[in-house]
Amino acid sequence: MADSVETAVLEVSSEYKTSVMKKQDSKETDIMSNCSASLEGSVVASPSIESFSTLPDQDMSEFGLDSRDLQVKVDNPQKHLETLETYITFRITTRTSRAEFDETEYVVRRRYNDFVWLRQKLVDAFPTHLIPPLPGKHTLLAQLDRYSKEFIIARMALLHRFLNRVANHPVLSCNQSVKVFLTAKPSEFAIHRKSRQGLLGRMSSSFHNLAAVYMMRQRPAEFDQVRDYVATLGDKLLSVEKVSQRIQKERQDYLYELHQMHPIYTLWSASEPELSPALLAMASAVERNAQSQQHVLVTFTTTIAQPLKEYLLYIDAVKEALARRDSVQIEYELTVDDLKKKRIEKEQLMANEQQSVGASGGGFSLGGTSLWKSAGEMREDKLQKLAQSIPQLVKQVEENQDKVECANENLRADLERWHSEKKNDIKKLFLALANQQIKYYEQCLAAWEEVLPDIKGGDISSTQSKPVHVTS
Amino acid sequence: MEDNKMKEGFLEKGNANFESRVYEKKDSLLDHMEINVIEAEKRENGALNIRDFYTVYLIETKVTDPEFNGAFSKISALWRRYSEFELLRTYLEVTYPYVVLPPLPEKKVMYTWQKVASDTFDPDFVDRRRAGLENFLLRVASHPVISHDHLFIGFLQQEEGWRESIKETGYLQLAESKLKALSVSVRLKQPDKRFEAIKNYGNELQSNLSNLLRVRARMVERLYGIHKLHANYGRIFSEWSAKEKEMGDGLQKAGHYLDSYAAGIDIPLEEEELFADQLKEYLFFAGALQSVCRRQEMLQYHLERAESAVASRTTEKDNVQKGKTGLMTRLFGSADTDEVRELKVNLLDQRIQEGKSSIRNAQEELNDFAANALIDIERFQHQKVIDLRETLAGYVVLQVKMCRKGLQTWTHIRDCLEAIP
Repeated sequence: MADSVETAVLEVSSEYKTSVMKKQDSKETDIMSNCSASLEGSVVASPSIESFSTLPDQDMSEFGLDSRDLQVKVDNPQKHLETLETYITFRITTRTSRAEFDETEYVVRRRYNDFVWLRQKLVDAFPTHLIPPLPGKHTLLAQLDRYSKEFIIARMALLHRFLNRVANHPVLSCNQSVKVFLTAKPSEFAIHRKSRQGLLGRMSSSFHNLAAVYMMRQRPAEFDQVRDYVATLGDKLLSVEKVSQRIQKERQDYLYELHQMHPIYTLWSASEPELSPALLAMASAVERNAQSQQHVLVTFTTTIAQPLKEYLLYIDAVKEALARRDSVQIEYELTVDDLKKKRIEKEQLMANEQQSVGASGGGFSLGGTSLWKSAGEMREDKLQKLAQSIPQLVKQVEENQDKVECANENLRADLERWHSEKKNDIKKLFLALANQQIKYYEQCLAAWEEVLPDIKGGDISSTQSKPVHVTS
Repeated sequence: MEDNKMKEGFLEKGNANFESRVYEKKDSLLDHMEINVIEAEKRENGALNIRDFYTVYLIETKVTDPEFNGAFSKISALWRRYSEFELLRTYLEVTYPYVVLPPLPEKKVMYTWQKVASDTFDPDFVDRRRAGLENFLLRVASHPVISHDHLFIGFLQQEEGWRESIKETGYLQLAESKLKALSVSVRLKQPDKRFEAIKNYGNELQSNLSNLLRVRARMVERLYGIHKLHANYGRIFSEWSAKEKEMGDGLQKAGHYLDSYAAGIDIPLEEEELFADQLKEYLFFAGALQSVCRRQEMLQYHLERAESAVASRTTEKDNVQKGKTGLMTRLFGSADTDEVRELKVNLLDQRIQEGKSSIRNAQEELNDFAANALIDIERFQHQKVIDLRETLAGYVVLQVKMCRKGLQTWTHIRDCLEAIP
């Protein structure tokens, strides 16, 4: 997994010849790989009640084999009780060999809202890039308590994924806010959080609104296709989510009945001296089936529900990025229109010059002096203004055109990475589902095969009187 | 220890360990004849313009033993409807009250779930009933006592006149009174411990089987739901695969396997209904067992009443002899003369003698019944163990099959997904 991430980074960011690239190319044996073992081993056991250091399976090993120049890990949740509120923080561990970082290792604590802040910063800074999604505020399973272990673990896993995606992104990871997030001490960080840089955010959102009203001339076909594809994908995943929930419910009911059944066999065996071993064997097989089914039920959240939910969020992030790209295009088109309008106005005014030579000013005079300027004077004013604004607009149009091309490039690159990432993630999701079922059937098969000899009994009397059952 | 054995109704013969006990197989009709219920047909009762439909079942028999001459004919085939089976069974019940009589397949479908046909004309239901009726006939035909009954053989082979000959036995009148008596519960002074134990066992068997059947039906309903929901996955995957380049193939193939996972549950669950039918048979068998116990109680009740009648007459006679008079004479009349007294005593003596002979008869009836019943109950228990073992084994084999199938399908699905580049 680490390898593929790395190569993708190398391909896409071919234009970005920064110091970052150089570091990646050299792939020096940094202190990272040496440190990894020790750091992993020395996981700090926090004194708080709910602290644990569980991570999604593969990432533990990744950290050791990882040769990325920026590695991040989210773990070790802790509950903080303050006078006004209670909240959870997570430990963020960073290891880096990048030059712009003063140290090679950082450990900070951040809470969910800090992640929200970071994401907003990234959206503001890179409106035309695909920013990975965050888990929602009341995410996953509505019925889970915000402080329940499952909820916290689930949220932590998603935050970990988010941060890793950011860290692996050649452009996003270089952002100042990211550095601040990963390294700043609590007091320092608080200052950054408070500083207002909302203007840009507000501007981009107003363009969003505009996009709703204004119809773009022609979205590039490729983005139209992406838009359609993403909509379909979102649809399908949503349907899968619904079906999986219905199946889950049915399984719960099935499990209930299994738990009703095996005690009946046990009870029955008490009144049947001869059949007792057979009946007890049945009871045990049914009970084992129940346990296997229980396991399927319990792993539903982590195997299916959570990854699905995350992908739906990711699809929303893609839609947002597409919308932001659209708004850049709209901005450009608006300035083009504006320029056109002004040029036409100028031509019209020039054309009128010949006609209205002797026109007197309109309006009435008050004490001999006219209050309004003459038509000619007005025209002169206008032409003057236009003479200034038109060149400005021309420059603006050029800038915006660049912006559009840039935005398209950025998004294109990000989408390409996303496509392959998505394919792997979805493949992994459904494979997990299939493997879970395979394990379930293997266990049940074993349970039934093992009791068959006990039931058949193998007593002598069975050979004498044949059973009378009709097997049609 | 003794109680345990009694509970199963087994007669203790020395220290025989049941496991190694040799069970005598007695001769029955089935040793000489083949019996099949091969078909069912819908018929119409066109009388009086009322379209009344009913189903008839074709019974075929063939004598397989050339030396056997207890049959009406070597080969026969005739149609009977369910109500005629009921007639037969009622007749057998009245005629052989000590036998744990094989039950008929259920009249109305019990412990059902959505896929089980409950309409009596549904072809699935009819076929299961056909199988149940065949099973009933085979059980009766393999019974050492009742299989030799002429009216039973007549049922199998005698097309014309069977209904008349059965009515001639007058069993109907007997049936009404006897069956009515069964519903009354009696309090015995000294209940027979053996039959008490058997009755309790019967209750437990009924309770366990009915619970099992109920839960199984609900369980199967859920399992059905789980499988069918996967067809939704299949549909989604198929539609989705069209929009994907690299994932398309894998998704489509996986989708097909998901569809087959959903469809693949139908046949195994149909097969599992057979298991349910076998359990139901034993549920009804438990009822037959209870009937035998109640008949024993009735007989014992009659005996006890006869005994107490004689006891009171004897007391009365004593009183008369000692000159003690009843209330009435003290109020109204004179004391008895010697003549009158002697008359009374003689009358009472007569009654007492009659009563004593009644007691003897009742005792004999009870003893015969008890002896026969216990033998048949032992036969029943023996057969029950064999049958239930087979039923349970069949269920487990079916479960193994279903697991293997599920495993195979999901392995295919996994392979399709793994093949995605």
